[in-house]
Amino acid sequence: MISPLWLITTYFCLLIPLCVMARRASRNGSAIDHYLASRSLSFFVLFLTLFATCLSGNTLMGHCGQAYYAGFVWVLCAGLWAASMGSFHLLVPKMRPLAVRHNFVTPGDWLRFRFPGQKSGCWLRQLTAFCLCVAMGNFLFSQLKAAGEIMALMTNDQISYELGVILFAVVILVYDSLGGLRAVAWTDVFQGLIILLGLLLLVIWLGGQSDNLAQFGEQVTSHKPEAALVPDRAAQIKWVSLLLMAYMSVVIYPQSMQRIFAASSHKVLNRSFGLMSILGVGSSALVLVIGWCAISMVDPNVIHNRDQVLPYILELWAQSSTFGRLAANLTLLAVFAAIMSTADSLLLTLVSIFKHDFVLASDRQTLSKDYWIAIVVMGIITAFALNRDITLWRLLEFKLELLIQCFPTFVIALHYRRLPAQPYLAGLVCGLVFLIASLVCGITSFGGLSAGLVGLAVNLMVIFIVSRWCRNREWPGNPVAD
Amino acid sequence: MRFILHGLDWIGIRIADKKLQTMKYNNIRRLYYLAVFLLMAVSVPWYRTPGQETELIRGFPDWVVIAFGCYFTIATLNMLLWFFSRTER
Repeated sequence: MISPLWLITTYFCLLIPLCVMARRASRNGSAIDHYLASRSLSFFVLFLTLFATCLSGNTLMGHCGQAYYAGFVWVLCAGLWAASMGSFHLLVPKMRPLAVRHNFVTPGDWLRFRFPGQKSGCWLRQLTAFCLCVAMGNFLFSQLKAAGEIMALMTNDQISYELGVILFAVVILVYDSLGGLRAVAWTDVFQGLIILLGLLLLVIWLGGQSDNLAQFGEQVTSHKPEAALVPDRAAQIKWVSLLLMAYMSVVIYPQSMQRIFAASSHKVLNRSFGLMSILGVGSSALVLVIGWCAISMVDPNVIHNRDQVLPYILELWAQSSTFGRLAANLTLLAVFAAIMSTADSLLLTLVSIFKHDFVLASDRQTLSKDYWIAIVVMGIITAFALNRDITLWRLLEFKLELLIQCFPTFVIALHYRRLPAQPYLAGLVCGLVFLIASLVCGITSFGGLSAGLVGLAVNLMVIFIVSRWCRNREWPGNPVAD
Repeated sequence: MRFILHGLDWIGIRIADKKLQTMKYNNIRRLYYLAVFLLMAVSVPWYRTPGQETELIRGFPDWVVIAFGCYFTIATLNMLLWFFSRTER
């Protein structure tokens, strides 16, 4: 592919004025202004920042590769979106008003409010923050990895994978620190539009390779006849397991929670989620079409890693014509934008959790320590990301397995307010011990069900048992009683 | 008149009676959860024989078309619920 480096440089340069504008628009140097843009995100900005953040490098590259290798069974990718968008009904209607009334900035603020004056509540908040940090750190790590891969491919290794990762990390760090959530959301608007345009262009080109939809499907079945067969029981159980995982874990994403807190009104938030749900499934359908088209276009011997499927398709497109070259570059930029918009949100959320959720009380008026925390966090994750030998799909699965353990702490504790912190803490500890033990033993699933889901079952069982013991006991500062 | 008001109320356009509206909204939400779980269950082809060759609908196996249909229906229901949902005060 002819060097699209100029395109990326121009793109970075276009982001700078947006960040400067965001910096100027900031009202004060408080945490609520930096991390929640003073709860001022309008419908257009909120919708596109949610879309760009959720459509990550994993979604584009990981799911495209999975669709290429797994065939038609990967239609479940659209289900993951549908399930995850539906699950926010469990959280938003109750959490949002509390967040506004009690000035929540981070997910830990919910636990501070829910379990006030309880020592076990403090431990629960710290352990939950630790889980969220590991999951988000892992997610950020995968975004850096994806960025490094793309840069290396685009420049034919003129920029090595390692240098690509470091450059990307520095750019994210700079604009995250400059303008906080306001800069992230404004740049996400730009990035969201590029993603939509890039995906549409690619699907239009791929559509031109077949005369009609029927021919496209037949091409896939003729190249991979086993793809059209009904999947076996193991694959079906995994399918159900992934749908359940998506339903119960994506709702805990701290970067989404941050946007729930940051919306300018309830109405804006509801409408953004409404549009997101339909556009999310539509986008995943486009990603699936790309992956399935690759089956008839890409020789499996050429691809060494499933994350290389999408870049390879783009390379084929670039070779087809001059317009193809331009459009392929734009789509590559869309992939880059997807990675970037997810990575910047992750960094911002990680820093806010590190700063506020591990300590008893934190300074919310100044941001002096936040920049240093951002540098240290990004430095550590970049160092890990220099390891190239792990696929994006496995990273995504591990993140979901970890996040799902926090589901009771947020969703069940929100709807069932009679219990103190002890049952949730005991459940979380047992769920995590189970998950880590099974991962150490190399067990990733139990009869097809993922270890994370079985860990959640253990977690819920322990909560039930301990709650029987706690039910009739008085506990201090019950917000329901208050 | 009452029938029309209730009809409008049901689709979330007019709040005739807040208590009634909340009850209806909660019922709709319960129905939504039920529909989502049913559609998700139908989307997985557990009712077909594994390894079976199925009919192609416009080049795609029928179980893929059914799964796509279920997921788009879930997304549409979800969108409608978001547009008509009211955040608790």
